Amino acid sequence: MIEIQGLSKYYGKTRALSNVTLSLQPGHIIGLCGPNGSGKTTLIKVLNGLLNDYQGDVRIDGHEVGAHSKSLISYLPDQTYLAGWMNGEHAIKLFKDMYQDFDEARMRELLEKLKLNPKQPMKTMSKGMKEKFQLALVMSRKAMIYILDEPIGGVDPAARELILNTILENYNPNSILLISTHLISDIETIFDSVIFLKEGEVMLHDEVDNLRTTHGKSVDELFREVFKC
Amino acid sequence: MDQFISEKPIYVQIMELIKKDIVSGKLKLNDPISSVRELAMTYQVNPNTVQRALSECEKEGYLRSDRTSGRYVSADEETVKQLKESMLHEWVSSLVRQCQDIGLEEHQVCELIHRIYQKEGNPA
Repeated sequence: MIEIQGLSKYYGKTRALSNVTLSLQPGHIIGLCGPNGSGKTTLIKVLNGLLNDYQGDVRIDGHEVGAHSKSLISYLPDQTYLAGWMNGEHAIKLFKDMYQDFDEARMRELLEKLKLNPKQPMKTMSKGMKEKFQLALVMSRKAMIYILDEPIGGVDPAARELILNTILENYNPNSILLISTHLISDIETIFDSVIFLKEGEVMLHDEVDNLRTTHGKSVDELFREVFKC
Repeated sequence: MDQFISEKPIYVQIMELIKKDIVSGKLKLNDPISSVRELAMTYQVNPNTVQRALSECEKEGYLRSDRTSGRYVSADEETVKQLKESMLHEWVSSLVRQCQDIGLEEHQVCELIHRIYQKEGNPA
């Protein structure tokens, strides 16, 4: 579904990704883990067609990144992109217009569960509320690929559980769910496999249960070992 | 999510949880098992992990699946008895090993077990 071959990306002279080769298959929840600056967001931006000047080959569902891949991917960026003057209703309207696979009924249900009021303007929402709202938008699409960049970064531990359940309850089991995070211990049990990025390189890509069997460690413990300062 | 330890695959730990429920009688013969998605949310784990745990339990004969109506407990009395014995054996062996590691004598351990049973069996 997602095939990446020899992907490198430089920002000026700074290397953000170095010869990344990955193959991601449907029906999997994949954790993209790495410390700050390891290239997680850069990789995600390439997959979403937000960065074009890279070396290597990236194919999604057999196509180069473009209109086709964009229609398949439901993407939660690491920063809010909804304007402050908007309220929930505006954002819902926007998604309805932009994405054919957006399911408004599901969105309304999610808002109720997450205790969010669609009439409230974005600029009066807390960071956690905005994150929950955007996650609801993204999970309300019936997409083939979900890419979530740090979905639990800004919320308290109690809300994390709610968010994880929202993800588990709403994702399509035949899709790919790629989640970047540095809060591994909070989320690792929902991953099938994890990718460790270090300074733009893939250090490891393996199934979680394999890692536990071979190393006798949780992903979080292994991460701390690999990335020890 | 603190319910899982690091050293073992999660699917194995979910199998253990299911087996415990069967042995304790919380799950009885022919009781229905929740769906994969429901269990994934209960344990907050990956649905594929739940799927794997359930099919392994099926292979071992504790669960059976009906193509149209879902999964059920298939462990009969004899199977439950055997499972209980093997759990007992596993736990006590591990306890004994740990006690030996720190140099405790058999009678010390037995005495303590006896005392704990008496205390918990007859709460004041």
